[in-house]
Amino acid sequence: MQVSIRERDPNYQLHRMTLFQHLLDCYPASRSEIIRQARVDIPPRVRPQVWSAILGVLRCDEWVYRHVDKESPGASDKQIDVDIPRCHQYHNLLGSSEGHVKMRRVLKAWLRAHPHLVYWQGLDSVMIGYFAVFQHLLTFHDPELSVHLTKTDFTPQLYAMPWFLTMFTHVFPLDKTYLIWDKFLVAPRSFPHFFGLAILRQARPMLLSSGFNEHITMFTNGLPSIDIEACIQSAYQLCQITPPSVMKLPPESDNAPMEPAGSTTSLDSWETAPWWNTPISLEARQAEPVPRIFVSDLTRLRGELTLYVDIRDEGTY
Amino acid sequence: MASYAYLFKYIIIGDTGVGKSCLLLQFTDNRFQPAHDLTIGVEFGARIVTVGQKRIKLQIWDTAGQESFRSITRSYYRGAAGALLVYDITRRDTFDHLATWLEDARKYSNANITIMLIGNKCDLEAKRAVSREEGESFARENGLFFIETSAKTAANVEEAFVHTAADIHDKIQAGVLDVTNESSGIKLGPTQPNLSSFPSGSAETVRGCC
Repeated sequence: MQVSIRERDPNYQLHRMTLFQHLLDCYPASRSEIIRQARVDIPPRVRPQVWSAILGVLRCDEWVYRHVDKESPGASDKQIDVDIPRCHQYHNLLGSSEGHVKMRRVLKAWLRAHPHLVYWQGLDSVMIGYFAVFQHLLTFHDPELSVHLTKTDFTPQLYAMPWFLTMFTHVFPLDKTYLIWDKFLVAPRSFPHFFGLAILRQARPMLLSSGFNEHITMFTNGLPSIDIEACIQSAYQLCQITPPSVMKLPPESDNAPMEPAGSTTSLDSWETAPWWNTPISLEARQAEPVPRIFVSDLTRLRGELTLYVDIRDEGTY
Repeated sequence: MASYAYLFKYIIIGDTGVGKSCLLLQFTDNRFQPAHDLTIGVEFGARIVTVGQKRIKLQIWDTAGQESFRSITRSYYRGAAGALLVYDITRRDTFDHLATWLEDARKYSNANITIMLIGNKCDLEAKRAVSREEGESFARENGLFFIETSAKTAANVEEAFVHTAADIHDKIQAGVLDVTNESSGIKLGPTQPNLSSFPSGSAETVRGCC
């Protein structure tokens, strides 16, 4: 049954809320069970408490928040003041002056509590690695679509920036955002990537049959025809069948050893790593249209549609 | 009717909060939304205008104004035929930053780009912090067109977009811009341009009047 239908079923909601209320009473001891239940769904009425529990917020944090200086002028005040009246203003609370004041307090408190971080509308340099991985992910699962989008110059830099920078809050209205975040909070870290991929896959027929102009129109209009719940489902499936190496960025340090994750080969004992097992720099990966799969993943890749081509010369083989 | 003779790529640049997205919305949808969502990265708009009896499709790239997006917005300049450089007449700092924006536009776009300087929010005369003369003289010194607009009242919004298109069209007619070169920001539409049409009047006569 769809979450949107479950949310309107009073009996089901009563049952779920009783369960969560009980679990919340035993928090923090019950945190892992809360997360387990949250994977099923989160009743809207207890969402704030459940999100807090998933994030590990403790009662003493409230005291901390209350005592953080939220009034003193800061370097980001001007930008915050310009931005707040431009966020989800169709929403009753966020569009009200009271909502603006509250939002401002939260942002100021966060800034004060994280002096090493800054308020930015964007962090574009951080995004480059994200986009490289996303492009590879798309190529891995749907080469035809990937080639088509690249040919029409419709790159992730153009459409996916608000996706990952704001974790989709800038893309969808709040009611949909809640559903998405309910999943993001309890899913693997890379889940947003798969959710983005699921959006493209759902829009696939339309994307393949049109060019750049139609693409931008569709994405600028906030993807109204996208079925969020179907995307979440398909994102889970995609997540399960994707080899981890597609998602992996190169290690920070050049000397860092390769991920031995589950590797059963004797490669680790080789004195010098063979060419296929040496780390690839971010720049090199960006330049490559397809992802590289580590040997360790390759052995686990089983599918009827998998074709292996061995290009090693006889000596190495 | 979806046919058009040319497609021009435009880019809208300028400081955060000067009303870039509002100008675009007023131009494409004829409406003003004071609580317009902030722009993350880039957003797009499109509309067909008529210049010299030719239908021209404007494809407009509306960019985020904040500094932290700068390195990405730079990549959007490539292949733009027109740029709307926007400041807010009620915020002096947005005018002071024009030189930096212009420098980026000159550096990252093609040499023949047509740039329209826009002093927006001219409905807020009481809060004015930058005089029209200052805007005019900045435009003159840097070889830009100049107009004052209000995305709120729609004053001069149409003109800003259309006069930029007229200038680009003039450049095509004069052979300054090569329409077959992708980087010029111009593409031929699905129908071939009508060769017998006349170039429009000079766009130099544009002056703010709001």
